[in-house]
Amino acid sequence: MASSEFTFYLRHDPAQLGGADPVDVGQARYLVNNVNHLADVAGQVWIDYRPHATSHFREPAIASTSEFKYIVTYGPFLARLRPDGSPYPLRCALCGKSQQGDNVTFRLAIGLNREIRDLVESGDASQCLEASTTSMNHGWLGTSVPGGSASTLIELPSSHEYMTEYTAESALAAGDPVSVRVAEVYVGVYGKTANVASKPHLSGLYVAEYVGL
Amino acid sequence: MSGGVPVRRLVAQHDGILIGKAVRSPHLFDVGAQANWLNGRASVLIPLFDPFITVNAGATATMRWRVETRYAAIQLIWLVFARSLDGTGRASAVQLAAPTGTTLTSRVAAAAREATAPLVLVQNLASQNASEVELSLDVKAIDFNCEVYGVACFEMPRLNLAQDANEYGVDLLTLGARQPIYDGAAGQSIDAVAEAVKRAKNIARRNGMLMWAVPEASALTTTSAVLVDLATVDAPALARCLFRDPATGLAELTRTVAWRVRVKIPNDGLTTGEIVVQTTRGGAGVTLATISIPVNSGAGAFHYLPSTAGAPSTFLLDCDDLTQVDGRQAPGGTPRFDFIKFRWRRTAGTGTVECNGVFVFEPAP
Repeated sequence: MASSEFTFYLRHDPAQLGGADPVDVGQARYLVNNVNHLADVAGQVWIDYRPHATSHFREPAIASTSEFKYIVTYGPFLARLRPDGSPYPLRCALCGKSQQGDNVTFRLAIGLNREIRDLVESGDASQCLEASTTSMNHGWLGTSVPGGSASTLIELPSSHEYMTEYTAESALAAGDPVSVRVAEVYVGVYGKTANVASKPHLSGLYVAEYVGL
Repeated sequence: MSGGVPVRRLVAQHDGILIGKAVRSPHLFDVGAQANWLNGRASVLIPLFDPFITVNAGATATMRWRVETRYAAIQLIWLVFARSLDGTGRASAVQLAAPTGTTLTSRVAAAAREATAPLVLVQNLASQNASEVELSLDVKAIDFNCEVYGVACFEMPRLNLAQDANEYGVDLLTLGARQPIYDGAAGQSIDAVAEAVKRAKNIARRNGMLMWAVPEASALTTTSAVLVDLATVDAPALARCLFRDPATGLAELTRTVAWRVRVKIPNDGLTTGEIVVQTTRGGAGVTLATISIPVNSGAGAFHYLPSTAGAPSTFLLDCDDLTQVDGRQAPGGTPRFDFIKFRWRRTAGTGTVECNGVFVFEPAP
């Protein structure tokens, strides 16, 4: 959630906080507010694309009317973590169409790579979003929590299982290798249809970190 | 010492900072640690996108982008999602190189029904740079035709930041209780904290917002004399919200973002073109910015516009609304993204106008 006192960045001159200057309450609170606000708005865009032609889409290899079938999985994305270890919530949107005008449903799941399939199957409301359409034209779709209300936000639970280590350089050239801890998160999209002759066509995705209310 | 970068952000507490009470060391320690987190946890430079391209066996697809890296970036992580299109389900070797023309590194693209993992390439940068640069990537299919269905690039997070006027790392030990207050020493004490927070405003940006690039052979083309859409649908985007609007006292509604395009026209002395940008905020059909393609621009080759030697073109994009559940502004009570629409046309001559890249990013002020 947003954590800064004023919910804005306050213009502030660092020269007022030299070693010889007194630290007054106002300046200190400005500093605290600013660093919190910058962290609140530090979320990054993970995915943003859309089609440039009607032939631009991905579809499941097998269409099903009863279960969601794999379309794409993307990741790992390096999540920004909140103080409790949970990733920043993710604002999502799906772009797609129906092959022949029958109702098609996309289900997007975000989490650990190994749990994406189970999340899709269970429709876990905390880590999945759904969107349906009968349109045969590409378009951004209204999303909702499976079985629930309209939403574009997925809020992942706190879990140490996101964490792994990358070996990185410590400096530009000739630096010693170091281990950097990162939180890896994956995004998967599956689809099903009311008619196997009319596959769900995924043509765009948007996923971005947002600190949440 | 150097500025250690925490894995998680903190929430620095202001409650105890009151008139009559001393500003204590833990307050400043949290601010310094969070400044290091902001400046060291890296950016997404190229948000993942699907180029919808096929690379034929033996061929190399080269893609190019304009981005603004952080100075602290010393390595980039590329994710390339590719799958072999061999009809009998055999995998294909794929070679990657970043930047283009450097040593190719071998990876394996699994067959279509098995390819769910990315091909990862870590690029060591030749220099540190906080200005606009070109990123490029070669994807070479070896055994069979390969479909590329995703490309992304982000900076490797840093473990420590240097205490200097480029990386602005804060030595957290100098913020401890009973430590001397250094004045003017890089990365130490309260003036370093204040400087790091000020710089974080520009460093911890939403660097890559919408990055689309395809190989030159897959460029879009137009000969239309009237504006037509560059993409089939528009792209959602929102900028970060920093300031209060002095006129209203409320959060700023829009933020300036930059864009460049990569285009080509024939070197015929006649053909010209233009690409315009429109947004939901700006109103349907209202052009917010135009990039003109003058006669003989690029001498018949693909090139960036505006020229990389100058300032990028800019337009206003909706900001996050921190009072909304998902940050989308809700004019009239209905939350919505700001959608970006690019349109283009040939403005003179008889040649074909081509485009193989559009790049939207938040520029450094």
